[in-house]
Amino acid sequence: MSEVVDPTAAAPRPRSGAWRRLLRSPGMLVPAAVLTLMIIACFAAPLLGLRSPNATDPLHSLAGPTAEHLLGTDSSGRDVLSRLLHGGQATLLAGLIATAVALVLGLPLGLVAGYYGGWIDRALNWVSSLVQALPAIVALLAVAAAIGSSPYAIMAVFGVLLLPAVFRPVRAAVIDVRRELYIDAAKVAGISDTSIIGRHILAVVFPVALIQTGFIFGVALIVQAGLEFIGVGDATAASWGSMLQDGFSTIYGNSFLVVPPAVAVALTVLCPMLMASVGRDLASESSTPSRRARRRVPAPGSDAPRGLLDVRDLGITYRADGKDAKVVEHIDFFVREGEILGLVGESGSGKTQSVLGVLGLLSTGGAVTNGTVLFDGRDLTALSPKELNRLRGRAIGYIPQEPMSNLDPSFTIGSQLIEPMRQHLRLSRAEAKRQALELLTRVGITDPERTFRSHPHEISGGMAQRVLIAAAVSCEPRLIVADEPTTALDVTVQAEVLDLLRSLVAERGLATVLVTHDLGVVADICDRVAVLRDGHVVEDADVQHLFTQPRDPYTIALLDAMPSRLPPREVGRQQIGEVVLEVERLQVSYPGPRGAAFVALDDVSLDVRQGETLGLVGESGSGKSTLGRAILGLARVTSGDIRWDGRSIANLSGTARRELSADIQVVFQDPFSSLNPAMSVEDILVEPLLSDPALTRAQALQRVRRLLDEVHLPKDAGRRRAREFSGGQRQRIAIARALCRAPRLIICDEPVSALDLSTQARVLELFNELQDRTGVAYLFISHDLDVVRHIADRTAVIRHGRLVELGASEKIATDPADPYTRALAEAAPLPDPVLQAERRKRRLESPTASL
Amino acid sequence: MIAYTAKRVGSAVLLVFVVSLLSFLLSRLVPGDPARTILGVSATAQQVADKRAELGLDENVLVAYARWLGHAATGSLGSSWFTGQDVASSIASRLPVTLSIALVATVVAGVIGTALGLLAAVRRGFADRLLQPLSIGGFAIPNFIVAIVLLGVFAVRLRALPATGYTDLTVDPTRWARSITLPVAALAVGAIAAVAQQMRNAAVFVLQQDYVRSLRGRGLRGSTVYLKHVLRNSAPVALTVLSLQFISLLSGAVIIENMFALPGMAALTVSASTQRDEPVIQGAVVTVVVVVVLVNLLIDLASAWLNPKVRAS
Repeated sequence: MSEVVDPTAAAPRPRSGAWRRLLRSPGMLVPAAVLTLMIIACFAAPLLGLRSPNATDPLHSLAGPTAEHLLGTDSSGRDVLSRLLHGGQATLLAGLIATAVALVLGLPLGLVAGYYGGWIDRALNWVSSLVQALPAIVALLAVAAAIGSSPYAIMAVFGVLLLPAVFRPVRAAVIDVRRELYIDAAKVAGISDTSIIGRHILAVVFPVALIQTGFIFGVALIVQAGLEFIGVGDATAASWGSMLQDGFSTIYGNSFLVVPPAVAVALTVLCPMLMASVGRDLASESSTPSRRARRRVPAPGSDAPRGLLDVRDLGITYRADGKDAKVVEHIDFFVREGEILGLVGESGSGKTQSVLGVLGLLSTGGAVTNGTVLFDGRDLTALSPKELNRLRGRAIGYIPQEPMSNLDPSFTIGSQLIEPMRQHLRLSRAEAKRQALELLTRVGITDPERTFRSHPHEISGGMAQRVLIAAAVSCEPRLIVADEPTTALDVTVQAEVLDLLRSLVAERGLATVLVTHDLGVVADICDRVAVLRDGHVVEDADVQHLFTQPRDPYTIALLDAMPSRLPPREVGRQQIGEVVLEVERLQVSYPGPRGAAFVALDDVSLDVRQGETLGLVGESGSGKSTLGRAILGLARVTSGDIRWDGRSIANLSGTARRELSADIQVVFQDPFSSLNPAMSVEDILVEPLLSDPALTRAQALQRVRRLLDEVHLPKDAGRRRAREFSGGQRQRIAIARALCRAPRLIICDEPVSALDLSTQARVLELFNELQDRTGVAYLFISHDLDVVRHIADRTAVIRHGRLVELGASEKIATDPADPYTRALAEAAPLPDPVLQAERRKRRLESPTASL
Repeated sequence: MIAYTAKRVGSAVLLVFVVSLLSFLLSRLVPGDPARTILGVSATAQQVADKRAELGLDENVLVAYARWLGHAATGSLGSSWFTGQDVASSIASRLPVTLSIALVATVVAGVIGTALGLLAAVRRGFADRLLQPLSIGGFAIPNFIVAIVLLGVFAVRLRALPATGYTDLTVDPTRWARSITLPVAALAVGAIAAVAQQMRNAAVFVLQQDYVRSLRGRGLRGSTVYLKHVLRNSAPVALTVLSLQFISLLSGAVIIENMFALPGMAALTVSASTQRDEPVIQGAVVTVVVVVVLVNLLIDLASAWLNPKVRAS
């Protein structure tokens, strides 16, 4: 029996159309019909003209099924069918009571604990774990001893014991939603807590609670019947549990008597649980994935391979929901030993899928459908998994994109490093360790012994990427496949990692395929380039040629969209007014473990004027986003002050903060998390407007339509849901939301970093255009000096929470005073292979290289 | 790890304390006079008053609780109001029976459930599609119905295993094993289903992680990837489910012991409950909660030990 309704289960998140599919699914309809029939039969029992459930007939005891007694009679000659239906009433009612109590208590408590967190959450959580530690039937026996054996009272108490089954998943779902940026955006927009819970959070929590209801109802029935079975309950009335007991006690003589109540209990429990389970699967769409797309026969290539790796006419298809989606159509590239080939493209171009296809590492549902992948003359797509395993790691090394998520968090770096060496090279443990330590030294790790013993969470992202490079070359491969190996790294670390990669390739004569979206990285390290678009190679050229004489219009557009090729900010293009925002000696610190505070911002002072753009540049962990969040009231100020129009706004609460929402707005980095995917664009934009009581809904909608036009979205965009839009379009929606109450300052927190190059250039243009028209000021947070040089009048550089330099953007970009700013500027690769090679040479010789 | 252990132990002690207090208050503060119930309607008011004094019912409830707690700390749980038997010793003679079936069922569920869940996650396809309905069925069918079926088949029809009775492990291990086979099987079905389902979801999640792709990218054998990396990373989920399942197995054991006529905690608690034999109930509830807390503490510590972030601190 399972009284515990797996509260550890991940809270499912509902998606679009889930409800419609839910109602149409046979897995939902059949149990729903059976359950309904059961309930109707039980409660209509008095109308069916059956014998009284307690009328004995000693002459016909233990009779089998007859026309008069459809399910026979029990040992006292009572009609089984009548007892079954009448007994069902009590059992079902008791189950309902327990379910209702659990829901009424668990739902609001889960909401409160999840939304407010802190000590409320800790206290409620402790109570929940206390309740959970009580074995239900033992606890109910103790309760029955005290309050008597009324089944309804006992079941009400059982409802309390079931509280964690609602509380936990609801709390988990709320915590999940609360982390979404769209909740922050709603707070900045001046929406009250109750409205946020009502509009954004309940919509997610409700299905979770509903699904748990099915499980709880089933469990309550089991426990109810179980208690009656052992004789706790109303002994005079018929119930399924007591009928089971009757049947069980005569099991040696007449084994039929136990069947009707057993079937009734089993069905009534199974139906709601089936419905709940189907509902959960649909809500989380975690049902079994469709099988792999089928592989077609490859076109045989007769001519000799063009290099160590020769990919011809590669096609990759994913199969989901019964449909095939072709992600790579016809891709052709090759790489020779000692050569670095860049595969360049924007998101959706198929660059990553192509290399995963080459390596046989496509996700579930994906398959190579056409073409050949010749490695050293053998077609990799025709190999068995075992044969492929003998090549991967041994002859072909793979360097993944995200350094932290690509190391197994449960094992030490050392054990992960020696694992492939022991398998492929059959080394002894000691010899493998010796070689691993050598490798760690080679990739530039200063204390290899210590790193060898460390777990992944104990090292930095840059170190982790070095470890992954060490792992890729550990078995002396001939080919390296690197998938965006520096995208997740800061620009200074990126330069070091690229240097390392270049020297390893030169030293060992490796053939290398490097996937990237960054043309600067291409200029820095590649010999040849293949430009990918929509699953096709549009241009394949020598790196020098590509940058000086690009042929394909798409390549040309891509090169033009590079931030370093965008024009610098015109001086005096804007009417710059009074100072609106002042930040003075700001400090923000977070309490760390054992009282040690983590200082995110320290002694930062700056100001923003009306109509101006102030760029704020820093690497990850510099505190640049924290500054934005402190101004927005999303992070607590520890000391110092923030003033708006001369009035302090640090740590404002409630109404005062909500009033500011008309003046200060935000655009976040992640356009996917910052918009509630389930809401229509219109609703998203109307929401902040409605906090203005002077505005009717019709007026608000009119304003929304004008806004959509201003950010260049189609007229019909308002009725569509946020999730139907691409990243760039979503960012336009987020900008429209920031604009809708005509603010005077918008905090732009890395608003273009998640976007493709060409989209990025267009969104930057939109920012400029809106500023020209409305005179809004921007605090523009970015990690990219080139972007800031294009958009900002002045630029502040921030490092380790401290302001390093503040001045005119052009000066900061071309002639920085601070060595850190200079290192930052020089680490970003130039979009020209020749200039970049010279600059790299200078950088490696200069003293700041070790910064 | 030391700080973590101390925190968990402290929390466990507090939990036992709060439960014992709540259970004591529940029995004392609910209306009704146990002395009258024991003596019957014919007893005089004086007799009832004497009985109340004898049982300590006339004391302030917090004083009474403090007295109970003081005795409990020295291992004495008082004696039954009805039989006069020492509560601690009658629990001591019955607890091993209940623990035998609940612990063995937990271990069985952990091993089989983990294996099934991992298999379904790795194979997907048919094995996975089969697991889903089976696990819902196993989870939903009450254990007493499973017990009826098992009894009907193995004890009544085949006469292969005993339907009733218990042999102590120290007396005869083989007969002990035979005597608990059917009860354990009846209990374990639901727990296996729950563990398998959760393990499957956890392993599917782990299999989608980047590091699994990287491990495969290094050409590691499937057995290394699945049995070492995937299993280790989904183990905390399996352990959490197991600790919850142990609690519900203890609960289910009350009914199963009753059906197989095992001389465990169930018979003691059920009769004490119907008679309102407060010292016995209080003793039984506290004992069961102590067992739950100890087992969950062990599982928590095992889970923390598997997590390098907790272990290091």
